[in-house]
Amino acid sequence: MARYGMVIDLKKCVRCRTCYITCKIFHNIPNEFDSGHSYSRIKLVEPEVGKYPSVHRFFMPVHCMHCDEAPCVNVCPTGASYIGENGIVHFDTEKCIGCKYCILACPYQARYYNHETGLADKCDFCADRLEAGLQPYCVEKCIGNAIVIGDLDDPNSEVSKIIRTEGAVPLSPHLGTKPKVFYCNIK
Amino acid sequence: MLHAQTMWGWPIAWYLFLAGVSAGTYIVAAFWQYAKKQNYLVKIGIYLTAPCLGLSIFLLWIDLGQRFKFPYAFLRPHESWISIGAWLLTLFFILVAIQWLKQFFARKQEQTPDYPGWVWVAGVILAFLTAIYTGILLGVAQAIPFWNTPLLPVLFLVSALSTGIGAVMLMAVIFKKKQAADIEEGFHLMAKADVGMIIFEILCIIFYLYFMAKSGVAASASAAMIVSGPLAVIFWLCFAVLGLILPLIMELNSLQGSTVKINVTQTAVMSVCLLIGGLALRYIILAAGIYESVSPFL
Repeated sequence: MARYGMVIDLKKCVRCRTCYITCKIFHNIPNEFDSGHSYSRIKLVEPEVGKYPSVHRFFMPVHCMHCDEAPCVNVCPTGASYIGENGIVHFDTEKCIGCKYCILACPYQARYYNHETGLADKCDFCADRLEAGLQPYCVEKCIGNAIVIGDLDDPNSEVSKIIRTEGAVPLSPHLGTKPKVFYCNIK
Repeated sequence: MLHAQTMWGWPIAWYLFLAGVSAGTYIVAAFWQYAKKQNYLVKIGIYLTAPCLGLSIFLLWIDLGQRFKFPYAFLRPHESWISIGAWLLTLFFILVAIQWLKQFFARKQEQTPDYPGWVWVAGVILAFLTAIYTGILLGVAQAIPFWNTPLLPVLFLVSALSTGIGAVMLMAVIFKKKQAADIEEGFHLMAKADVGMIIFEILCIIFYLYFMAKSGVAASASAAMIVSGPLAVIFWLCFAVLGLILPLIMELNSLQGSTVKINVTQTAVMSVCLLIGGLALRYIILAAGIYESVSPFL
């Protein structure tokens, strides 16, 4: 069984936000006015680094990190969040009661609350598409081929090679959640 | 990129507050039962606990996105604090509801219904666990550094006891009847205990905010939000002045002199202040929950 992981090359990312929009369209994510911004399963984050006058701001899409030690899975009272055999943190909408605890537990803020369904929601690497041999929407539609998904356990997969050669790193590894989404060329 | 959580708002603040009050009123009732004194205060405590706890459970239920799937919440008590809480609240509610009903149907009698000792022991354990668990529930939410501290369960427990005393005093002076002639002694001891609680609570909140202000980016932003930001009015006015300082002064004042004369208005005002403070505390801690920022350089 593959252990899915993702690598995002920020050098190839042109900030077009296609991943965000395509995810929102295909997953039927409603317009959301909570705290003033809209939601998708992908978050667009623009961290600032440095101090004036040498300030730098960059741009990164943040998916669910599909952590091996996922805080959202630990806090879920119903078992709606669980880690599948393929390493994907799945989400069972039948079991979710909408307590929103997982949203407060995820240090990457990868989850959001869908007010229309009364359920939490998150990225699942488009698991049904992967099963059908297709790529997730964000990977397929990315105009710069910046997002690559594949098997982390296979050293010859494209994702493993990029992580090795480009020195890709996960976000906030100090949290100990063992994320499976990596970033390279951050600057 | 810092922003506060908006997932849990007023319903959860009321829920945390009322769960605390019910734990406090039960502990007060159990104490007077154990002391074999102040039968009237035992009755008040038992009459208060079940409605407060019922209302708090109702608010928790209202806040669910899928209310009719709530039985699923009981599934993972070995791991999730929502599940642990669901079990605790249910067991505690069953116990206090039985005590409430027995007392209600025996209201014509002078004596309170008699229970074997283990009922009270089990009830007190469940009450303490309920008060403490509300703090742990927030404490293990990893995305909010401001909540990740063992001080939170301590703070919520002290506040639960203090608001429990406040609620019992308030009801006792509202429904003051003939048999309440000897409640002065009870009030004296409760005011004394509450002085200790309030002083301990003041120390807790000072240490809590100070350590948070000196820790990471998100937690210090949370502390700033409370002390000098958008929550400052609620914090200073409703929690610090109304919830802590004013009741402390009034209690110390009432403790002077050997004989206590209960002033109904004063006691009522003081109790309401204690309750406002308890609710304000839950609300500011929820509303100041700023998310850990997502950055590759952390």
